[in-house]
This record gives sequence, C-alpha cells and structure tokens, in this order.
Amino acid sequence: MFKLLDAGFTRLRKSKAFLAVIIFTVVLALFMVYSQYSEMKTYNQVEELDRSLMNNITVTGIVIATFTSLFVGREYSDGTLRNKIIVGCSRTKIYLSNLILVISTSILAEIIHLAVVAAVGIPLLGGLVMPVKEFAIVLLCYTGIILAFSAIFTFIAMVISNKTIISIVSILLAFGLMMIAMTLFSKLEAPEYQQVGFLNESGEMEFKEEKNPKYLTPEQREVYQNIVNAIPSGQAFMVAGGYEIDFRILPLYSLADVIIFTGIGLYVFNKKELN
Amino acid sequence: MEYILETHNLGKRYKDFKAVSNLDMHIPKGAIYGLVGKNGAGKTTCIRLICGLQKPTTGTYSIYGTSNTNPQIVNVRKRMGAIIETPSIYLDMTAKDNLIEQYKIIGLPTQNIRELLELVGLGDTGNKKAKNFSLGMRQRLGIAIALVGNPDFLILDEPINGLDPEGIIEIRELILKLNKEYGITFLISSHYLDELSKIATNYGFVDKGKIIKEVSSDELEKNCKKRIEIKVTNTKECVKYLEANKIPYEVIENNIINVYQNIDISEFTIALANKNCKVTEFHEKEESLENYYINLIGGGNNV
Repeated sequence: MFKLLDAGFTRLRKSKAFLAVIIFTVVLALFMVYSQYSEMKTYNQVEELDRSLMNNITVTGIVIATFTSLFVGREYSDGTLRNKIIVGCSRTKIYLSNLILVISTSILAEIIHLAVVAAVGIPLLGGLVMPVKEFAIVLLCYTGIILAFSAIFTFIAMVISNKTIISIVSILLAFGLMMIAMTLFSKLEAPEYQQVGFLNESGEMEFKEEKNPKYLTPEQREVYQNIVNAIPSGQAFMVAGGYEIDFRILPLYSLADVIIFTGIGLYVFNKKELN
Repeated sequence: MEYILETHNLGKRYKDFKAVSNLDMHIPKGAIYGLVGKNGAGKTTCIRLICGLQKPTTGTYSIYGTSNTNPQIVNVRKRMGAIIETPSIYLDMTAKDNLIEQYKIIGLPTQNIRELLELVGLGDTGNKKAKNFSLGMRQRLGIAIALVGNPDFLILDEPINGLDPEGIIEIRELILKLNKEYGITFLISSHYLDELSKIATNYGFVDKGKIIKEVSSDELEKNCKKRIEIKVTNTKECVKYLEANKIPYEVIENNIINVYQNIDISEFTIALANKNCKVTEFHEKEESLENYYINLIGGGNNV
C-alpha cells in the first residue's frame, strides 16, 4: 500500500490535473473574497469572512469529479492499472491507494482555499464571525463532504473502464447531485402559507393567505431532509448556507457514504474482469 | 524439464462464448515461446488469465510451480513482467519518470534507470514526454518498465503490431538480447509467423481457444524444411541404405520415411530394388511456417 501511495504521490506532483485543481482553488478563493469585498464597498454593508471560507464547498463535487476522472480515470486507458496487478499489487490496495490520493488532493485543495481566503480576506473583510467551536464542527462536516465526494467519484473511476464514460458519468453525477440538492432544498424551504392575489367585487386586487399545496407533510419533510443529509451535495448546501441543523450528524452521513461506496467499489473492482 | 509456466485444462467462458478451452501450455525455462494463432484464437485471453487480470472459468495454471489458487501467486508475479496489447505507460510523463514510477510501485530504490533506458535504446529521450514517442519507442519503454525488478519471465502480447520495419527489428533484437544475455524467458503472442520464427525457440499453436500443438523450433524446422517423403515396402532395408550413405532421415510411419537431402533417385531406387525393397511413392515437400500452421488448424477453410 505504501509503495502504491509513494508512486501515486510522485505522479500526483507531476500531474497537470493536480496543478489545475490547485490553480482553480486559488483563483476561486481570490474571486470569492473579491466579490464579497466589492459587495461590501458597493452596498456599504458588513460582509462575513465565514461565507468566503465555506461557499466553495458547493462546487467541490465538480472539482473532485473532474480531478478523479482525469487522474484516476486514465489508469485503465493507459494500461497502468493492469500493470500494477501484473506485478503483484492487490486490487484492494490499488483501489484504496487511489481513494487516498483523491482524498489527499481534495483536502489539500481545501486547506489552500482556507489559507488564501484567510490571508487575503481577513485584512479586507475582517476576522471570523462564527464561534471557533462552531467553525471546527463546520470544518469537520466540510471534511466529511470531501470524503464522501471522493468515495463516490473514486468508485466511478474504478468500476468503469472507459476514460470518456468515466468523465461523462462523473461530471453529470456531480451536476446531478447539485440539482437534486437544490430541488430538495426548494421543497424543504417552501412556505407553509402563501399570498394569493385575486380581484374583489369592486375589481381591486386583494391578497389572502392560503395554505401552500406544495408544503411538505411531516413525513415527506423527514424523507427529504434525510436525502439532503445523505447526499454530499445536500450537505454542502447546508454548510455553505449556514442552515440551523445538527451539524454533528452530517459527518456520520458522510462516513456512511464513504463506507457504502468504497465497500461496493471494492467488491466490484475485485470481481472485475480487466482487459 | 523445468517449466516457468504450465497451464492445465485452462478455460475461460464469456456467457455462451468459449474464449479459451482446455488449454495446456508448457513454457520451458529460458525459452522464447511463440503463442501462434489467428485473431480471436484466444491468445490474449490466455495471457490475461495468466497475468491475473481475469479469473479462469476452468482449469489452473502455475508460474514457477506456484498454482494460481495459491495466495502466494501474488508474490510470484513480482518475478514477471508483461505488455498486453499496448504498453502500460503514463503518456504525460518522460521515460525516466515512468521508470521511477514503476520502481516505486514495486518498492525498489530507483537505480539503474540510465542503464535500463540505454538497454532499450531510449537513453537519449531526455525530457520528451511518452506521448511524443513513436509506437516503437513506446513499445521499448513498455519493455523497460516490464524489466524493472529484474523479472525472469516476460509476456509480450503482439509486440510488433503496428510497428514499422525498423521498429520490428529493434524489438526483435532487444528480445534476443534479453533472452541470450539476461536469460529471460519470453511468452510472445503473435500472428506474424515469419517474424516469430526468427526468434522463437518453442511454439504453441492455438486455435479456437485450444493449444493444438506444442513444438520446439528444431522440430518445427524439421517439419518445415525441404524433404523427400518416400514410401517403401521394406523400411528396414531402406534405413540400412540411408545410414550406410550418411543421408539424414526420419521414419514417420512404418513404411514412410522423410529424407532431408537431395538424392539420385535412379541410383536410390535401383539400390533398394536389389535389396528387395520397392519405392512405391516419392514426394518432394517443402512447408512454410504458415502452411504448417494452416495444416495444423485443418486447412484453408479455417483461416
């Protein structure tokens, strides 16, 4: 395993995909601070550094999907995955070493994001508003989301043999998960009552409050909330949006995602017939 | 004889298609074993099974005497290298970086990289990325990668496919050098029979997933070289005559003898007639490796 990791990290250092992730992370961090700073200047309002620190989590899935399909996904087409098996590396170790490489890259990108936002953002926007303890919990959730995304996209890159299909499936899934999370959130946030306009007898517009037919029943709400909790994109929206939820349960959902996807991935990869 | 690789009734089935069936193969130590067969005969599937990329449906194989069912097979594989269809290289890395990568995967200190690159003729590639290499250079880099860790068994699947004549010569000379100077045993699958015949010491002819014949190059040469096939009524007298005249021969069947030298037919016939032996049939034969293979698999209809 250490041999594979040593080889993997050596390749990572020279990888253009890795370089692209780092550059994108730095540019995104600078852009977030700049856009918040310009909002602060334009509208003369207080902006919180916390937002810049956390907002990038919503696009983390797309970044990890792209990196994984470029870095791990080419192992089949380059024949290098085959080579590792031929020289006696176990399939489980190959899978786990790739997962660790993806996780390491994603966490490093996150650290770089936080460092850049802190370095540029603190002088411009001021310090952290959130209490440190709460920030630590959010960071834990943040790490959990990265682990879950990494497990999902490593799973795709290791069970599909075609580089192009890996890229398409990964990117579509990343956007798909984002869309699902957004849809579920819009349903969860729908108001219980809504204003309905109508014309009265004298022909004037009046408004009255009516029960929103799309308002979720308690049972539906529980199901939707559990789905949001379970999918990393849902968790990402919760973290980035600063929703009042029990952040302590999110890492458990992330852990479950990692265990489920890695477990299934290992099973499929160990059974997979390679060409 | 010590065998590096042996397969016993090896089989691989994909749904209703039998890609390999009851395949028995024996690769002696130090051999260059040519696995010969047309496209779809089961050569690459057989290699994939041996390399552990796929699991056999039936049968077993052993590498250096270790069966594929033995967990130790993983360690035994460290003594072998393989190139299946395309060389396993990172195209966005240099030849040197590819070798460093392989040393790390195997867990060896990165040493002798320069020597290894020079051995395969890639000593002067510098910072050139593998994606800019010619097909022949990539193939040689693939061999260099397979040589990391000093394996004593290399498997090459169609190593000259798509190469230009110069590339073919380079690969051929490299294989011969590694076999002769480093004692590496080779399993080479190919359907380029003429090319294979320049290096192979042993052959396994495969058709419809089965090895239909295993022969050494000496035996094959005997079978393929120009010969006169004689049918006689008295084999004993004929053999006496051939031995007395130091004419190379081989008794094929009871009354059929192959003679591997030009002889004076009239003199030969009269001499045998005097010893109460009649020559009933007389055929001059010469067989190419292609003809030999086609005859083996049952004639032109099968090709």
